[in-house]
Amino acid sequence: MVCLPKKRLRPKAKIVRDRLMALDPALQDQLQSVFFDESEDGLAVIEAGLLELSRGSRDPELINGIFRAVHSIKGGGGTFGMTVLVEFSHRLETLLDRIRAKEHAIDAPTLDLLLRAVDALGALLQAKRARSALDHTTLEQLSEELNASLVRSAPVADLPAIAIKPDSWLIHYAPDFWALETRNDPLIFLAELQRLGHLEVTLEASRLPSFAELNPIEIYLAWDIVLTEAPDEEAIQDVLAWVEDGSVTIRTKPPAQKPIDAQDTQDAHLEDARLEQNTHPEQDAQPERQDVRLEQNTRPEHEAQEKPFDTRPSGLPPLPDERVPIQLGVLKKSVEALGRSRVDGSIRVATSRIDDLVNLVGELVIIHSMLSDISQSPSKNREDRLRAGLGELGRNTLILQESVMRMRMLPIQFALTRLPRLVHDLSIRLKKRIRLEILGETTELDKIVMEGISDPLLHLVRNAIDHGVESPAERLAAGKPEEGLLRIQADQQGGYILIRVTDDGRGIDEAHLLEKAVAAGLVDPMATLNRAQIQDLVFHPGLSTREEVSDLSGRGVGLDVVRRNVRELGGNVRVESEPGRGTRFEIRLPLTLAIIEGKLVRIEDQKYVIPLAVTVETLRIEKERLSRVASGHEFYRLGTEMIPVLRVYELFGLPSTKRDLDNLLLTVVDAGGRQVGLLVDELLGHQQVVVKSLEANYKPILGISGATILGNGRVALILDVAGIVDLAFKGQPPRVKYLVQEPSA
Amino acid sequence: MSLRTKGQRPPTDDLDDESEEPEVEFLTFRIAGEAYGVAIDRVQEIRSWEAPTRVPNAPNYVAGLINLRGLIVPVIDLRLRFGLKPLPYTDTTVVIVVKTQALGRSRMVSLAVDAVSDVCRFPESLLRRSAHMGDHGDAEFIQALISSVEQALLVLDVDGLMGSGELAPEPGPS
Repeated sequence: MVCLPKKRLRPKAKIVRDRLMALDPALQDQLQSVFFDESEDGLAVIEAGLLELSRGSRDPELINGIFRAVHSIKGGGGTFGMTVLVEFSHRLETLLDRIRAKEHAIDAPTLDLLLRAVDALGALLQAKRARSALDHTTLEQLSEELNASLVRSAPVADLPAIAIKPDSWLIHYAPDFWALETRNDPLIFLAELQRLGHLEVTLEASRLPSFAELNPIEIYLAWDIVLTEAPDEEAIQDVLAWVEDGSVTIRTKPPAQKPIDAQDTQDAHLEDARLEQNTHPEQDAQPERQDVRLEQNTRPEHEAQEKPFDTRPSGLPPLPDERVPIQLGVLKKSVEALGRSRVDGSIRVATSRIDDLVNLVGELVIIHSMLSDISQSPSKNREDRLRAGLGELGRNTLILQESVMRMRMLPIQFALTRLPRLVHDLSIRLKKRIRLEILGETTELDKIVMEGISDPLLHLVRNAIDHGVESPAERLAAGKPEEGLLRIQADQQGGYILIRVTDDGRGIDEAHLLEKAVAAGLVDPMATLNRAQIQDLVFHPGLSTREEVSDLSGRGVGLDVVRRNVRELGGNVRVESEPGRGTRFEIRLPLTLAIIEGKLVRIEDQKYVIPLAVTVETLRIEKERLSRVASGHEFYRLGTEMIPVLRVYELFGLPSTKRDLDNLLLTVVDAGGRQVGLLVDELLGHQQVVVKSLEANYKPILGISGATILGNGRVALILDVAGIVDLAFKGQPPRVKYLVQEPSA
Repeated sequence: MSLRTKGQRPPTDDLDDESEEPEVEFLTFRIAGEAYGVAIDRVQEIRSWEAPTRVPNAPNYVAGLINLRGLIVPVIDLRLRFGLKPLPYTDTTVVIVVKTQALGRSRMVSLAVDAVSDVCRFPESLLRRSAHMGDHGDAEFIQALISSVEQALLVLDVDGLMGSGELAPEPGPS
């Protein structure tokens, strides 16, 4: 290994840490949260890489990628003083290093150990982030296993490790401004170096201030030095000993033919870059330094950096660690991890999108000045010009709205990153062979929708593997290929995202499902249901067709939760199954939650919005269909169903003089699988509304999901049907006999 | 430079210009004949009354929600908050939008008051922290008392007003 000895890095890490500690706590938190975000990205890279290895790939770049990601996490952990994290990732790193050097075999036990270690690392990071207790037992146990594995390791490669003698050294020397005060004359340093070998020095004067600001006793210059024919590292270190730590970095320039060692240099280089960034952020932003880096960048993966890679919304913030994932050409697909934790709401936005916004805002400013100009100068065609200006304003507002919405959009692959691992683990446990196919992973959707859909998707995949795909023997007997296929496909259709989870397994056993539903009293035995209605019963709470309850799925919670979650996001899920051929779940989701379509209604003197996604129909109440049960609740007979009537004005405490419900309007809405009727006074129309937060300046309100601003500038509240049902029944909706819970979607 | 050159004299004469001690500035307003003040750096703007949108099942002193340039901001009726008799909202009813800070969250709230009076400066020495102000309904929201020859002013604790009871923000990041 030719990278810098660790002893050179440690003190620096400590210095950085000390400086960090001196920082304002808010900034510290922010830096930490960036570290956690990036660590999650890193974990996803590691996991995807390990899974790739378990599928038989032995690409050295893959292993390098995993190593780098672990290394970055370790480095960051060190900066923030997380000792447990550093020690654990160090063990992991050591094992990976052996694997990389082909001194340790990549076999199933090792991969399993690595995967578990990565899980533990993830849990450790989560615990650090949430400031919760660490699971020391697991960590210790895994540490021991890692150690044991290291003891076992034996070289498997035919390639012996070759010691490399570096042929030159790259030194960047940027003295502190006050270096002269400590009698550190850069000239002495340069002269000392010159005595060691051949010196090529490039001056970097970008720190030089304007003449007026120049302080003669401060140093503004920096140097990039290439030192060749130097005796050894120690001699250079001796010279460096005179220079303040932090103002100088050295790295070796390796011979080009040894990619792995080049990688090491890269690591050291990255580490340096990060440390410098923390101490002198203003320097690192300078293009001159970037040039130096790229020049000596002879690594093969350099080209990967230049390939367009649109799925990664890069841009902010420009921390050097970000370079790590970008370089992983092989792992493109899994570079980005889902922001799993809900602790923080940060989002990465491409710089180009922000530039577009800035341009748009510029346009708006121009239009504003134009409009005020028109309004002040009386002219004959003032009205026409005003109208034209307003048209322009409308157009730009619309574009601005779309651009801002786009900033919240992320490729759906964020929600899919956990799936390959899940399929891998489950197929081993259930002794099934499954091929996972993911299509359309660049389809974009709103960040909030994405976070909400991640768990339902996991569940559908689990369900498909557990219930759908048969064992290899069963499949062969049924004349199917041994390996089952699980396909996840995402497409955009209009304002919706369609996600389809398809398996080629045994399909839904309709007769059995219907039998259970009748036995549970959910379906009238006399009722005739069509196929879609029967299949829809899988979403019913309390119906699970598995005879034995497995710990994967099949406790009767699951698909009903999937449907509920999807509905909470304003979407819907349905199932289509062909016995013996397979099952397909189709999730339809709105692209964004920031704008919804709704029905504007009047209740007493207030206007409310009912989201269109939950409304079924609005009808005029006929008195004879109303009935009141003993508990005092009112019901409305609609076809074969009895629908609870909710007097919203009463539930909301609005003053009212209502006695008689005859001739009033009832808006039938879907409250998580159950229909209820909301009493409204007037239907005012149907419109798109921008959802505003109530929590920003107030607090959540039961029965209200948000607010919006109407055309007249007034606030209108958006009804939350589930909350209103809670208000009405205190969480205990009355049970009514019905034939089928709901018509199939 | 002395404070005098700022061009605005303190409204009180009892301590004249020798005092270079820091001053505090308040927006003063009236509720039921009583003078109150809120630190001027908390005041976002003053608006005339407009009927807000009702909040379901909210305490009676939450008059409703208004649209403040795209933000949804609650309106608190200070009269009702202090347990006084309600007064019908009229053209002179004024709404003061203030910034509050509670449980690590900063929120905006608008306060409906009878009328806004003035902006006053006081030397800091006149500010007396209130331990307990007696049995008024407003006692728990009064942070300090200022009394000078001309007037007595109750300084409103806007953070306390929004930081406790039913108006306290939901814990956790949002």
